[in-house]
Amino acid sequence: MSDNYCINSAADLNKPSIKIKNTVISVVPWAIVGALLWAGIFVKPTVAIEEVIKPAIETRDKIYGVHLVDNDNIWLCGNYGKILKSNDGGRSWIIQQSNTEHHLQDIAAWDANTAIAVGNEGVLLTTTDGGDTWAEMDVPKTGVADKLLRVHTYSGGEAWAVGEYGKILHSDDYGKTWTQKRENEDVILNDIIKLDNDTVIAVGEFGRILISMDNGQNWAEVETQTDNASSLMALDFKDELEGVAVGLDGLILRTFDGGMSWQQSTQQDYEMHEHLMDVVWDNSRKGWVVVGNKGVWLTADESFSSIEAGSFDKVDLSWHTEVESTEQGYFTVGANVGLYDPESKIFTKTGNKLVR
Amino acid sequence: MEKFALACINKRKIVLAIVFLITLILSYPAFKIDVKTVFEDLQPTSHEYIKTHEQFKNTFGGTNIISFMIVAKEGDIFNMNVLEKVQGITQGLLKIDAINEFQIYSIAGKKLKEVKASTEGIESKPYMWPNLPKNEQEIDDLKNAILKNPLVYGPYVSKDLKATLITVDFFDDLLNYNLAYDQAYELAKKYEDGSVEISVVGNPILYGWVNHYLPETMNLVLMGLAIFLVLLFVINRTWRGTLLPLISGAVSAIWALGVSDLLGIHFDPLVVVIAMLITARAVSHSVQMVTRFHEEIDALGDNVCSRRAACVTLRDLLRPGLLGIATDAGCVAVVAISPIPLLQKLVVLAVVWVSTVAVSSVILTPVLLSWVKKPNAYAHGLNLDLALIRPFLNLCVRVVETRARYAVLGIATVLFVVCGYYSLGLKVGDANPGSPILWPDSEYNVDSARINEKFPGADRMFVVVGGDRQNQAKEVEVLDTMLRFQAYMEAQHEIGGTLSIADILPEVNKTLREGNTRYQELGSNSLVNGELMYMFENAAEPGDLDRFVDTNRENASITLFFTDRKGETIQTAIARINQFIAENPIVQQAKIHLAGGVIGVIAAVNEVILSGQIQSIALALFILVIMCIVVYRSSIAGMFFMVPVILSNLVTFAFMSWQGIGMNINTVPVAALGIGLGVDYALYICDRIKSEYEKGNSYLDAISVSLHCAGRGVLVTALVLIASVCVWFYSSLRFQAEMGLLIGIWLSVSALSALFLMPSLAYIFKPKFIFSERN
Repeated sequence: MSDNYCINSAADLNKPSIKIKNTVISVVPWAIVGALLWAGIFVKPTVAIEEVIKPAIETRDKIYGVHLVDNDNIWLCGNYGKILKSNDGGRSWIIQQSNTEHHLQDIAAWDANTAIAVGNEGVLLTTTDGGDTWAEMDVPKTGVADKLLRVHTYSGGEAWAVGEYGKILHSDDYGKTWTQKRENEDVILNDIIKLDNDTVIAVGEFGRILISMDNGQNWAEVETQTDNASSLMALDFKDELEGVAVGLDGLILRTFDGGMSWQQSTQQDYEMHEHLMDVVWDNSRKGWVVVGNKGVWLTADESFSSIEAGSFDKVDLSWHTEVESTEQGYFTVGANVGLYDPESKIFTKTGNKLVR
Repeated sequence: MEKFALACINKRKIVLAIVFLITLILSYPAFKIDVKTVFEDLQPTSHEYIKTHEQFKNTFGGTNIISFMIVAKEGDIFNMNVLEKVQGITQGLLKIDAINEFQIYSIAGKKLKEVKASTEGIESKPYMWPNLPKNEQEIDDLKNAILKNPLVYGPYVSKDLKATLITVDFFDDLLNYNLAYDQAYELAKKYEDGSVEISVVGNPILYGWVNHYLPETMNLVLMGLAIFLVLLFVINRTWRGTLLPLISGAVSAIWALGVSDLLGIHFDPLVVVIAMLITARAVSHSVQMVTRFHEEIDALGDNVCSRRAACVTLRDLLRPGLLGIATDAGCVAVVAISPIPLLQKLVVLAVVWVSTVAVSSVILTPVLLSWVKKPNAYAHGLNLDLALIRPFLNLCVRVVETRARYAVLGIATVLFVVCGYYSLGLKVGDANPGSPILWPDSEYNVDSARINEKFPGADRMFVVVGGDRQNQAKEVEVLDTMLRFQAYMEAQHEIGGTLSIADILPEVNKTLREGNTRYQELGSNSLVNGELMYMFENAAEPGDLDRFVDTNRENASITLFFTDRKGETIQTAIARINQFIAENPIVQQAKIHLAGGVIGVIAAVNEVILSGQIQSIALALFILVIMCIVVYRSSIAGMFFMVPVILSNLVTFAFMSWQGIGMNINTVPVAALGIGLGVDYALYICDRIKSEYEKGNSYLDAISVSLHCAGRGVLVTALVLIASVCVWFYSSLRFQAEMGLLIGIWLSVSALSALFLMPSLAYIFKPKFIFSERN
């Protein structure tokens, strides 16, 4: 049987097709040898890289400012020119192009389309299209210390902003043009509020309180009946007469006459030595809400007779700079962003989903 | 060849004397060879990451960091009992040899500090050094101070306050892994009790574990050897068939280890598997010799003459034997292209070792056989040849004879395709979290998982931002870029956190601004940043900033904490760093330089292995093909012998990919060695077919003779070696068990392909270099 195979294959060798096959057979090995050498010298493998999904609010982000247009539409601003907008009450976020790398300290809006943001180096941005485009506006600058810290909007396109070097800026055309309402002074102003047609109050460093009765033309300094010279960081009013200002080292001042005189709140029921950064009057729950460093919160009823204080989380001592009240609770921003439910006393961080 | 064989046998006494003398001389260095692991040997010195690492490792963090984690079983760490233990361990560290006392980070140490504003500017003080808090109030203050500091709360005290981390670096050149391992565990055990749990990880600990298992490794080697000898004795039924392979294995081992020691190369316990592999080859060459010798004795019939038989054996097997050894050596030598010193040293060891097989097996075995007195006698009556081996070999022959040969071809093709597809999934770097050297449930890996659960990550990488200009690290743009880089990198899930000088300055700035968080930002220009740095350092001790920035403020470090060392994790991180660099090429003349620390070094190693992976396999195949072409003077021969090699490697790769065994520094040499070694079996079989055919046998007769003689050698060695490799499954070192398994698979595939596939291929295609025209 094996001999048969021998004969067959010997006969096969004489066929012309076999000759072609032989040529191919003699070329292919050398081609493979060449390919091996080429592969050995030139081929470098590539690697597949895992896709990294960036969260809307990163761990390192500092969100300084918040503005709630309504329960669904929320605007945030923070470090490195970051502006975020949510249309679903904070479950997901859209990053908006601010075209600035400066830290933004505060954001305020007239409605869901028209808004304004301020920040370091006197940067002041406005939008009229819901934030699709932001444009930087010209504002008076000193060239020394121009950081703008807070901005608030009022009906009729009016806006007030304060910042370093005692700066008070005013606009009544939805932020297009700005006038400086006070001479420069080496003091930082941290917050401002317009009470009625003429009364405007600003607070700042060293416990300074400035009041203007003629819509910012002239300013007077208010003497506070306290020896605590801690900086005041924020203020808010319940109505045209009754207001609260908060500041560093747990300072809380109250006024009952539209800001003409202020008294330090007597700290009997609670002990608070942390820096307090923001205060708002919550009209729906009829109470005051304060946030500050180390995750502290403080709530007080209308008359400040019942005060509660605590921290949002036992171990997460993230600081907060601003708070807004909503139907669901208190929306706070700072080293983290979340919603505090005063009923259950639970703080939940907002959604981190980035859309678009 | 005939002349050489005759000369060897005729001057057998001289040959033996020379071999004996060399063995004797080399025994001394061979037995005193240094057995140790040196992590620095893993570092591909020419790689840019390694250059960065070497330049900055002493200040920005080396590869030999040990981390202790103390976990409170009840409540948090803020009670006197736990704090006392933290202090005890921190102080105990100073007694560990080779420790860098300036690189101890602990809440009970001098380096972690609380920064406060005071009337004179900035003030800083250690949390609990030199004294522990005295009462509950002070413990509360301590807790609050820690919670406030993001540089401590998170990196050194866990977010749930139940654990604290102590890290310590070593002086690399003074470090002895075994000593550090012993002392670190001694310290941990001293303080561990019902109230706390202490975990210890770090490279010195990891390699300490490898050395800890050294006695076990030696036992496994001895056990493997015993199994090997018993099986060989049972199957071969002669003392010579048992002892001669043992002698050749021992001789080549002594020569190789002796030469290595003389060249100043130490023996890494992690390469024991390689050593086993090469010894296995020495043994199989020797078994081939003995098998052939028996056959020649049988052929001589009544004129029994050991000398004659030995001479024929040597003459006929010299070509396949030497070709096998040359391809082995050539293919392994390719690995030396890699810039990793460990691999280069390994190549020297392996090439020397493989080359000695030429003497110890191919020459020494027949020479010793020529003295055999009663070549026909057997030592015991159990004849496995009749019961097992011959029937199996008959089956091999039957497969070639019948149409089953096409089925064999079909199976091989399917294996090629399927395994080829799966082997594409082979990963570079470690495929699983934890150390791949140890089992997932080993104490070390369990500790490592615990630490990664509580902290941002125990393994670090640093990148350096800077250049040649002084004070670059104070520039706002540079610092800003660092912060943006950190945020960018932290988006990757496996990076638990990052740390740099750019994290500290905003803290200082805030403190100067009455703690106003709206000022937790960098200074607006380099003057202010310089001032902030100065304030921080002024309040601290000289050298406290060293781990973040050098004294000229030219270079700053960014430390990234990784939760695992997986190849994919590191590749992704490196790719993202490069992406960031591409988007921010140069900021104020400062560049981002990759990469130091443990992860930086592993990244460099993985990159080298990845880029060398195709290179080493292609070049090894190239050498194999060229050698076969030259020896058989046929280009077809080169193609022919590629088949079993590629098949066995593809199957092995596919298995690795399936089992999640990554291609790392430990597996690369095994793969390269596999290419060279995979061809040996096929060479013996095909060479025998060729010589039988030349003698005038028919195709099938030639194949049958070859399978029954050379095939027997293949089958016996494969069986015996696979059985002795099995002991490695019981190794406490996962790496050894996996490599044992891989070698087992690889031996099986190359033996089976030599026994079934190669004869079938030879018979179907009848290549001319085997079935040459007969005279």
